[in-house]
Amino acid sequence: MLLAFGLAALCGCEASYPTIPTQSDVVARVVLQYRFPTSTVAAGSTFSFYLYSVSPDGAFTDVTFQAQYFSSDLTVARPRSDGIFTAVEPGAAEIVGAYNGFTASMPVVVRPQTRTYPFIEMSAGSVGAAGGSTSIRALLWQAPSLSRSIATEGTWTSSDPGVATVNYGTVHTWSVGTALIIVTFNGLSESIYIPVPPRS
Amino acid sequence: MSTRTRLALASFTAMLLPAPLFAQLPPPDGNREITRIQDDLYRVRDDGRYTIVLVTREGIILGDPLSFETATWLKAELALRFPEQPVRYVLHSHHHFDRAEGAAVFTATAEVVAHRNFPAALSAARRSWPEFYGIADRNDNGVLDAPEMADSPRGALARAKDRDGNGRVTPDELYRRVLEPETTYDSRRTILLGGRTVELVYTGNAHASDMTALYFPIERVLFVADPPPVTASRFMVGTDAPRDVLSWLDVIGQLDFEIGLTGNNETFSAESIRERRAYFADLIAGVVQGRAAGLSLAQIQALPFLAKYASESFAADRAIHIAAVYRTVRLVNLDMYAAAVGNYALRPAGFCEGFTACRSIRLVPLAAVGLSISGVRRGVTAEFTAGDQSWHTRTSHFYDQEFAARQSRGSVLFRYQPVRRFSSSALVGGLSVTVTDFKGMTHQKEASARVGGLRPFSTRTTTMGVTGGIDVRLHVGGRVGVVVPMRVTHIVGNETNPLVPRTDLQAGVGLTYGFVWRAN
Repeated sequence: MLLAFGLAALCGCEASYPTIPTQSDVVARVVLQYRFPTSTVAAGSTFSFYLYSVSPDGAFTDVTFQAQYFSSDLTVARPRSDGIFTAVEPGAAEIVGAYNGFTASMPVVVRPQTRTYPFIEMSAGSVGAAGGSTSIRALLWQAPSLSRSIATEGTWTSSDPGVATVNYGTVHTWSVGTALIIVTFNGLSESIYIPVPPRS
Repeated sequence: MSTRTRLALASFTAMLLPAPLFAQLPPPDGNREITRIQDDLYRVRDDGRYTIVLVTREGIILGDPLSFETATWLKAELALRFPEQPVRYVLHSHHHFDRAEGAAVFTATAEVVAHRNFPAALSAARRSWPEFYGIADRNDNGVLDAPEMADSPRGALARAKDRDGNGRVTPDELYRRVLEPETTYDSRRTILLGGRTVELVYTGNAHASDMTALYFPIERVLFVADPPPVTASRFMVGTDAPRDVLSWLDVIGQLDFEIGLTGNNETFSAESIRERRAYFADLIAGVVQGRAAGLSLAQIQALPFLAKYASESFAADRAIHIAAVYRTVRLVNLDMYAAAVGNYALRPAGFCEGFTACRSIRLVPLAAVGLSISGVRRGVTAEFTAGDQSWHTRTSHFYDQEFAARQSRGSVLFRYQPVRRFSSSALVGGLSVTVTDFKGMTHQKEASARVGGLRPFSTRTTTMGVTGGIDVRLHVGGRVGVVVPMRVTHIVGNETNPLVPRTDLQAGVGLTYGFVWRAN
C-alpha cells in the first residue's frame, strides 16, 4: 500500500508545457486614451489622456507619467504636463503621445465656450473595464432652459463596435481602446469619445 | 525399503523382546523400564513415552528426562546399574513439560542442553496452552477446569500437575518444574563423551519451535521425540504446516542411520524417510497445483499425480493425505502485471462554462503496473499508473487558458474473484491517491500588466479517491496471462481545484506474470 501511494506521491511525473516568459517590459505598441469620456471641448477648459504601453502578450502598463505629449496645432490645444492639455481656440488638432519610440494619437475638437441653439450635449459617467456598460446622456438643448433627452429618439452609432457598442445610449464595452459614439437627431449630431481602460 | 534396513529394524525389534541379558536387571517399575538397544545405548520407557540413554566410560548422556517422577526413578536406576557413571548431559528434544520436566533432577552433575528456541518456547508455554496437548480450554478462562480435563483422554496427565489441589490447572502449573537449559545450540551441536558421539540436530518447527533430533552416528541410531506422523507405518499428514513437515523430512532424510526411534515407540528407517519425503513433496505439489487451478478436493483426489507411489504401503491412504494437505496448505497467489491503459478523464463540472471555446484531449495513454497478492477468492492489489499528459484549452473574451495535466495514481484495491481459481478475473475496489501535476499558461486579455498578459502556472494537487473496476484475465500458458484492467476512479472530498477531474475511466490490456506461493 505504501509502495503504491508512495510511487504516486514521489514519482517525477510532472506535466510539461512550453511556457513563454512574460514580457511586460517589452513594448509592442502604445495606446492613447482620454482619461474620461470626452465630447467636444470648450475653449479654455482642460482635457487629459492616459498613455498605455502594450506588451507582446497584450498586457497594458500605464506610462502616462513617463510619456511625452505633442499637439499638432498649438493654437487649438496646448500640452501642460503629464497628459493634460488646455483647449485654446476652437478648431481641431491631433494629440500625440510618445513612449519608448512608439506613438499614438487621438483627435480633439475644441469648440467655442458658448454654443448656438439648438445643440446636443453628450456626457457619460466613468467607464469601467472592458466587459462592462455605461450610459451616455444625450440632451437636446433648444433654449437656455429647455432641454430633453433624446436617448431613445436619436440615432446612435459607434465608430468601433469592437471596442464598444451602443444601444439607445447604453454603451457596452468589449475591448481596450476608444470608441467615438455619435448620436444624430433631426439633422443635429454630437459625439463623445468613450475610453475603455484595461482591467486592473 | 532395502533388505539391509529391514534386517536392522527386525534385529532391533527382537532386542526389545525380553532376553536373558536383562533377566539379571531389576524388574520393571510398573510402567517404567530400561531396555538395551545396542551396546551402551538404552531406551527408557515411562508408560507411553520413551527416551534414550547412552552410557560411556566417562558418564551418561540422557535424552529427554521425561517427568520429574520418572527422572527421579531413572536417576536411581542409573546409579544402581552404572554406579561409576554420573549423568553428564541431558539433551532436550523440546520444551514440552511431559518430556522436559525431569531435567531438574540431574542438574547437579549434568549439563542441560537444548535448542536456542527452547527458552522462548518455554516462556510462551507458561502463558498459554500448548496446542499439542489435546485438551481444550473450552471456556477460554485461561485454566483447565475439571470438566475440561475429565473429557480428555490425556486429562490425567494434566490433573497430575494440579499442584495446589484446587481442581484446576494453569499453564504455569504444567511448566513450573521445567528449567531453562544451561546451554543452547543453533542448528547442530556435537557432544563427545568417553569416546562416544551424539549430535543434536535442529529439525525445525514441526510440533514445536525448538525440536531437536539426537543422532548417534557410531551406533547409526536416531532418536526423535515427537515427530510429524509421517514416520508411522500408516503415513499421516498431521496438523503441522506442510512446509515444516517437509523441512523435517529434509533434515532427517540427510542423516545416515539404520534405526530411527520415536518418543512413542515407533521405529523407522532413513530410507523410509527419503521415500516419504519424495511422496510428501509430490503430494503437496499436486494439491497446490490442483488448488491453483481451482479444482475441488474430489477432483484433485481423482488426479493421477501420485500414481507412481501406488505400490507403496504408505500411499494406501492417498485420498486422506490429499484431503489433509488440501485443508492444511495455505496458498498465496503473487501476480505482477503491466498494462498499457487509456485514461479518459471526465471534465470537471463547469469547466467549460463561460468559455466560447473549450477543447480537451482527454484520452491519454498510461502505463499501469501492479502487484496482487490473493488467495483463492480474496486478495489485494497495489497498483500504480502514470503516463502521458492530457491537454486542455479554453477560451473566452477576456481569458484564455491552456494547460497540460499529468496524472500519477497509486491504488490499493481489494480483489474478489467470483471464480474459485487463482489468477482469474476479479472485481476490484479500494482507495487511490492521485497526484495531478498541472502546467500551462493563462492569458488575461484587456488587462493591465498587474494581472494581464500571459502567465505561466504550475500546480500540483493530491486527491484521495475511490477506485473500482474489473480485471479480466485470460491464461495464456505457464505463468503468463493477458489482463484487461478496467477502472473507474472518483475523487472524494471537497476538491477545490477546479481543474481536477472528478471522475476518470481507464481500460487497457497487458501481460500478467503470476505464480502460486505456498505460505506454509
